[in-house]
Amino acid sequence: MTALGGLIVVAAAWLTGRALLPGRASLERSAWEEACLAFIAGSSALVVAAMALCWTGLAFSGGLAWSLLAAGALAGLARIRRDRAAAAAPLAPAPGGRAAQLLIGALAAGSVLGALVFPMNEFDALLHFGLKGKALYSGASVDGQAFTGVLGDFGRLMTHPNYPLGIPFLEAFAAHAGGGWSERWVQLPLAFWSACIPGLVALGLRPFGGRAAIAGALVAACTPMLVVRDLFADWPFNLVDAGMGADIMLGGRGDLALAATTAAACALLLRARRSGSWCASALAGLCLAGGVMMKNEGVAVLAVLAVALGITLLLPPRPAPGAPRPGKAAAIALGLGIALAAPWLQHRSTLPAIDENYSEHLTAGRLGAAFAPEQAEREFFGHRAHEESAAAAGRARAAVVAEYLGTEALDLVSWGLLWPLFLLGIPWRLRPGSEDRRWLALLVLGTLAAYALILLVTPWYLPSLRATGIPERLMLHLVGPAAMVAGAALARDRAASMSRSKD
Amino acid sequence: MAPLLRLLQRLHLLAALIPLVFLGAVFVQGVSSGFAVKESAYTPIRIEAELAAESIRQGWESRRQPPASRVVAFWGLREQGGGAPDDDDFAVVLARQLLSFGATLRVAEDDAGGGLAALLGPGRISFHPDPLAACDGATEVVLANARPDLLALDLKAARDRMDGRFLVDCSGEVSMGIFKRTGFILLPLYFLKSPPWADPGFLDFVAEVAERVPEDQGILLMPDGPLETTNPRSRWFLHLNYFLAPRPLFLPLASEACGTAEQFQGWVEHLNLAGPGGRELTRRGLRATGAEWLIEYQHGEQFRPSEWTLRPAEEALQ
Repeated sequence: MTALGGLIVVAAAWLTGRALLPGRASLERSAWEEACLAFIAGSSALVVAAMALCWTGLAFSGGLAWSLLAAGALAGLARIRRDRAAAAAPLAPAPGGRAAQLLIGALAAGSVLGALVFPMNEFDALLHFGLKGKALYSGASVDGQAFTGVLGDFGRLMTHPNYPLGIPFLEAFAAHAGGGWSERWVQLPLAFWSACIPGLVALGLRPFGGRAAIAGALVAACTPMLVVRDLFADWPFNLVDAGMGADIMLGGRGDLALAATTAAACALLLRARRSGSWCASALAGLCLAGGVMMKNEGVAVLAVLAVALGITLLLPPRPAPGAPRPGKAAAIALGLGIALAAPWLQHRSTLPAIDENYSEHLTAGRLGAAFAPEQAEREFFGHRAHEESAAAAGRARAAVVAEYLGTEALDLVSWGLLWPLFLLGIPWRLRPGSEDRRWLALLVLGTLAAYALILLVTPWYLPSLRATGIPERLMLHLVGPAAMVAGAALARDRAASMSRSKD
Repeated sequence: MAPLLRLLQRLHLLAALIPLVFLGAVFVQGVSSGFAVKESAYTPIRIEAELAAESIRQGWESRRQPPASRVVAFWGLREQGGGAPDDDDFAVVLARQLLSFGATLRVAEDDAGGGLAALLGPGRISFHPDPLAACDGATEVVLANARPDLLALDLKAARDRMDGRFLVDCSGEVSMGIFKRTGFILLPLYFLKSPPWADPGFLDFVAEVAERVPEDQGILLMPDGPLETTNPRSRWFLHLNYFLAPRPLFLPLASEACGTAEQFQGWVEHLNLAGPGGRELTRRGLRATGAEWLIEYQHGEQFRPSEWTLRPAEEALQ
């Protein structure tokens, strides 16, 4: 297999998304924002469609993969042609000056190339996602032995059989298009998540003004966690062996993919709530379903988003008569998101849950136990796990989780100042005009609370999880909305200071 | 609030240096390793000097060799460049510890001024500018660092001048095939952060199985003998499963073996409690799975190809 297969999937995903985007008149955007949104929406559409078809009993054969790629690409080409013929509204200029665009461009290009320097070389990427991708590529049925046979006295090997199939589908698309499986090139469709997130933040913040859009995009782009976590943890080995350890976030894991789909859904909802565009709302729903397909945590994001939007609608001020109804945008996005994710969610309920069955673990007894000192002596392996184990020994799990989240939010090496900027951007008072920041902030805080709850009851030994990058890998999912809150707050404060100076 | 937000946003821009520097390092690493994941590309991490000395002492103890009877040729007291070593240098601490156990040190350095002897303190020490001469009559040689002049030495010649045959490598630069080339038994005192799937022996075994077993035929994996470790590194079956996919791989109680680290510990315990199932368990597994092949292996952290055998199920059933 060569890079060609991956490139075909990237082009097809972009064209598929291009076919689905609202018109430029109803969703003003620059070429940069359009490219980012089209790729994420197209990737979501491909994996949602592939799952729906496999759910009906079809195997993910070469014919099926090519049919989906060709259908998406042809639809995209037709849409481009139609836009040209109809002299569609021109693209808006990209926000920000040359220096900001260069910095964002350099980070984006670096992250795409950085993801491809090495073939897949990380436990989760290979064993949780790559194995499923290989199984799909070989034509294994999603309800066949490869995915369901782990139980019994002599089971068929598979880690996390109920992990979603978004990443494996994208890898299998690339393998089919390239004519073989390559640990390097099946990553090509997975190499663009980091690069897209700043463009999506800018797209969402465009109604707040160009300054807000570029400020938010820069906040996202400069966050080191989009590329590498905790660079100095094993100094100097994270640098001298750069890209060969589990500290690199790029590549075949699902965290960045969920971060990108979440950012896309939030950007579209921000726009749809103001414009009333049903197409933007529907596309937000598609991206939410895409997120559910990328990582199990996508379900938590979707659920918390529903609560956050609901709370915002219930709180004052009410929308003025005649203004677009934000509730309609939310209802379309959430309804379609659930509907499109339904085949996977139904299928997931039939898969063996051998370890991370959180609904089973979420009991009053377990929650209560999280507030009592934890058993101190555990078997652990690895230097970092040893340190974490010693630090957590004899303490209540709830205190350890709170400490992990707190210290992580202040870890400048992984996050820069993203989380302080987010916290300062939260609208603590119910002022008119702060509704969008309010639901975004509720989404971020609510999802963090949901993740904390999961960590309280997880069957994994918490210090071991910490050593492998939890909770920062979970917090990564929320980079987009956190940067949007910060960017919108910067715009608001600038507007406020300008109006004060005019007075 | 506005000035603070703007200040923090500007400061946040500095964080971009971290991914930029890291990505630069990734490209450099990619070029230097041929854009491939190879065990040799990982930097060996030296264990602490005290721990290294203790490992050596325990080795003597297990072989019933009193430290006072050991003569250690010590290479690499000075780092590259030849300057005077510091009091807390790895090599200095290691040498001092070995002396404190009662061993004799033949240090491969010139110490005309007596500075090194003073640094190492009391003990049975001699200094030899020629590293090969330091090996005369030695029971083992300790390579304390990766000095290029020492790595370029003729190890066969060194081995011929010694009375013993152990080479203690703290540099990570001596390859595993040294026994065949020189007669040295290698005792590595460093660790690599390389992933299991970069292990050359593992990859050779994968290639052998892939060549013999068609993609549509199943393989039953059966651990042989007691399972002595719960280290996650011993889960070689997971890596085999990925690299041999789409071949179906089966394992007794696979759902426990594939679960959390604690479930895996439980799996080890279960299998040990059940004891050796022998041929009957294997037969039962082959019949239950329909696997056409059987891999029997010794469960351990290191992948030793000699401990993994592949044979057709028919042969195992006979």
